[in-house]
Amino acid sequence: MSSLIGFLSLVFAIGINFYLILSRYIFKFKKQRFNFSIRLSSLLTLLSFFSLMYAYVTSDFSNYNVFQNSHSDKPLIYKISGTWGNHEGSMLLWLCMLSIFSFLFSFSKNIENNFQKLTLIIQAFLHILFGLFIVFTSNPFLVNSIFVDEGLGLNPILQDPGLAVHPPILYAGYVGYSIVFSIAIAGLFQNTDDEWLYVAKKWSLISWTFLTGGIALGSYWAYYELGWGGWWFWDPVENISLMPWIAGLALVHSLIMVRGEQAIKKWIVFLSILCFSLSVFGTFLVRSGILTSVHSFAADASRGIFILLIFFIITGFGFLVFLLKEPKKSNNLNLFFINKVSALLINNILMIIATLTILLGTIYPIIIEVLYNKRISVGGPYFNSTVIPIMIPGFLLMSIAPILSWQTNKINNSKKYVLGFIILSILVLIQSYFLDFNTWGFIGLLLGFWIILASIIAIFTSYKIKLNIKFFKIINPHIAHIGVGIAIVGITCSSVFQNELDFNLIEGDEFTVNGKTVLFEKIETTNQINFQALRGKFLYDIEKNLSKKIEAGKNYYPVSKMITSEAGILHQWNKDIYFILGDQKNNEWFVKVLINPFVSFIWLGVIVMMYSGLIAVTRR
Amino acid sequence: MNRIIILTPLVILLIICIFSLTYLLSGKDPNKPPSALLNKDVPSFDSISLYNAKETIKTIDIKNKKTLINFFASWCSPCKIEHPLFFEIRKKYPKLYLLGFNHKDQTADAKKYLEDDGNPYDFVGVDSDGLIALEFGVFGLPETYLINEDGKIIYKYMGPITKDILKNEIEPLL
Amino acid sequence: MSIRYQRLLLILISVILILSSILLILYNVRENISYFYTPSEITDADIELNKRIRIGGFVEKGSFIKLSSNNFKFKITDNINSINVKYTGILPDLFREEQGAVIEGSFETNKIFNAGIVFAKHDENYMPSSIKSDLEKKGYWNKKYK
Repeated sequence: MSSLIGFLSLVFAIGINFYLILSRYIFKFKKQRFNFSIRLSSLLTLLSFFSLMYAYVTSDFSNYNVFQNSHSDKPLIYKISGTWGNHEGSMLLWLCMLSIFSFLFSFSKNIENNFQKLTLIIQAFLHILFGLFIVFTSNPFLVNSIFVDEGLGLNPILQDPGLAVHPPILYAGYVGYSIVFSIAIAGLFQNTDDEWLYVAKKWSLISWTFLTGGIALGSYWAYYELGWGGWWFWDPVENISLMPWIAGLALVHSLIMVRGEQAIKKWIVFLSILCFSLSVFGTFLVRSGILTSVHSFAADASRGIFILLIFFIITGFGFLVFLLKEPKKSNNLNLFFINKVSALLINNILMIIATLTILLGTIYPIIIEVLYNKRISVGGPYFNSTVIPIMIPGFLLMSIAPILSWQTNKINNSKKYVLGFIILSILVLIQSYFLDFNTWGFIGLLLGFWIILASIIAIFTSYKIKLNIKFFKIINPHIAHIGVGIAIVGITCSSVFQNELDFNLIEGDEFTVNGKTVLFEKIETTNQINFQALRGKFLYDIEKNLSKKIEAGKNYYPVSKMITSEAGILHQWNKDIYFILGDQKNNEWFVKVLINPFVSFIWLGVIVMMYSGLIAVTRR
Repeated sequence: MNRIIILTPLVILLIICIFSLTYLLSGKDPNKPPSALLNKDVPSFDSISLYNAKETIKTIDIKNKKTLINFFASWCSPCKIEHPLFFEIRKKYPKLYLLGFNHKDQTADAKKYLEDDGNPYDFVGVDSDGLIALEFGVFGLPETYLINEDGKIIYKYMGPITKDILKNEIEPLL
Repeated sequence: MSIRYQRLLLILISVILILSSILLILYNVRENISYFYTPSEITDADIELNKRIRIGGFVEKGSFIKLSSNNFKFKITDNINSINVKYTGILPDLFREEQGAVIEGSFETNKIFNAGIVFAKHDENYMPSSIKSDLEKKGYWNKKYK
């Protein structure tokens, strides 16, 4: 029953959107009726999504999708998250997000009427494309032809609170760019005042913040769940989320700067189209099964072709409009050797190059296979050794960019910055001399700390310190950059200075990690609600009374007959101690211990970035 | 010059789409695993007869026999739909060994079901706790497996078999 | 400095940035890709020693040897040819004989492949009884899987 309701409301929502597009040119709706229809279609899509969720929660196995992806033994939260833990459901979530953004946009005030209408019309067009995709190739409301009393269970690797919330947040980011896309296209068509730029800024900041959160959650999940001790693997799915993120960063910066200059308008339109295109392209790559990845869903060529078509239509349409409808002639760029505009220009060039580099690395295997019929894989080393060097000049620039002037080459208090940089270089050099010297480590630490230091100098010398909300809004760009600096320090330390220790241990053994004695207490198996757990129990720092317990092991899920690794992580503010339980022979267990310094800084940096993203939304 | 620059994204888009499309149409699929079940040895099982607890069936009993294994239950309505087809198979291929497994069922219900609808099976094994089904990787009822003389699974079908399936997919293997 | 000169400088910097990135990309694409082979293709093609490649296939039945708790030897096969592989570290959770696996590494000698990374592929909905009996032998899973 819920499946029927879900399917009908999905179809009705698509119908309303068709009607809306026609209405604009035939019936000439009034604003209120127009907005009502948009909101109705959004609510119907939501209803459709919730009826699928209801089917999951009640374990309604007469729904084929539920049967395939759920199991009645599963805890409630994973029944709910199972709704989007599969291809069909996640596409419905995508559509749902699209509707939510249209819904919210229909409420925005102070926007010119026709412009708002046109934006929503484009949204309706996108809704139809993705809606038809769902109905024809990935319908989550199919009826199960087999009579069953039990489902097939959810992939246990997805049974994790982090991963339960990861897709909705990530999708909010991806799909948020749809509204930016629609705004930009509508802006091109209407070609009126520059009001749309401010609207676009708000929405692109919201999307970017969500995308940041989504990516961070994903890599945090990979860090503690995959049991490899790393948090970023340049997996294709990670790459495709990084592309719109970097392009979105370029967009956000261009939009913030636009108040002074008009010429970058064209560039902004380009970036808006690019961001959404990359989001759709990412979806295409994951859904088509072209890429091999831990995240990929079952492959289906017809789905791939359909979504490739959608990608082609959206991107082609976007760039075609861009080609034919140039923005109004505007002032020339106010370029100087080193002012805000030139810094922005170089920043944008670098970000676009970085995006293209990742794009190339991601699709290179496809091109090679089509051309030479050889299978290749482009691994992490390629991305590390191209993307990072490309970003370095950008990081150098961003430390001082917020205090550069619009009109001149002058930098206020430049001596303080030079002094600060020199002192910092010496300090980092001394530090790396005492630990073993590592070029990447040196560069990373210097850059990270330099960004933090320069931003702090800027805050203290350029503004009057006041502790009110307005002040925090003014210094927000610096805060964002401090976040980046913190993250860079965390990334550098955790990757360059990671320490790996291997042990072969019998229960009761004591061993030394980081100068502290660790006791390998015992191996224990327990039965949990829907899995069996095998755990190695460790006591860290047994000399002290407050010794810490660490458990590392594996889970066995009988329903899907899968095994997952569960790493044992001891979080400290300055390092994570990461235990992985390996195989055993003759009661000797292999235990790998990773010491990851300053991992927490990565997450802290991300939180700071997201905070300043949210603050920037409220700032006009 | 300006136009050329603006055209580049379109050109790149076209190139990407052409390559992806060629890739998709060439039918390559890096993710597709070979089915773990097909062409594998039939899982080992050990079960008693529905009618006589002393009579057992083991993997070794179906050696050198072409066997059709069908998982069914009295509570499963699609099983009822395919049920008559097994009589047809019986008639047409008397040499084929028909093995039914009664899945998670009450003995009395199962007996009544086979009384009402007839019993096409050579042997009805009891799988009351679903352990045998688990070994076979049964998802839901009904499911049908075809095992050749070497004890390898050569065919598997999920859901009720139909006349078309029987004609186009199962009969060529018999 | 005149404005015109400054702009020229800026354009120059941008061009240098773009060119050096392109060089970087081209160099790295050549250095950091690994080709994917099946065991039969390897016997046919000449593969340089110490060149990083990937091999995909099945773990041959009966070939898996546990030298110690973190040293393993096994064979990767495509039912036509097989390759001797050695690996040090933690094997993926789903690594089993007769299951699909992809290994990345290089040939140490003509006969032995040294795997740096092992990826196990799995068929989500079916666990062969070999895995189960293996687990039972280890004795840390319960016998009943209900």
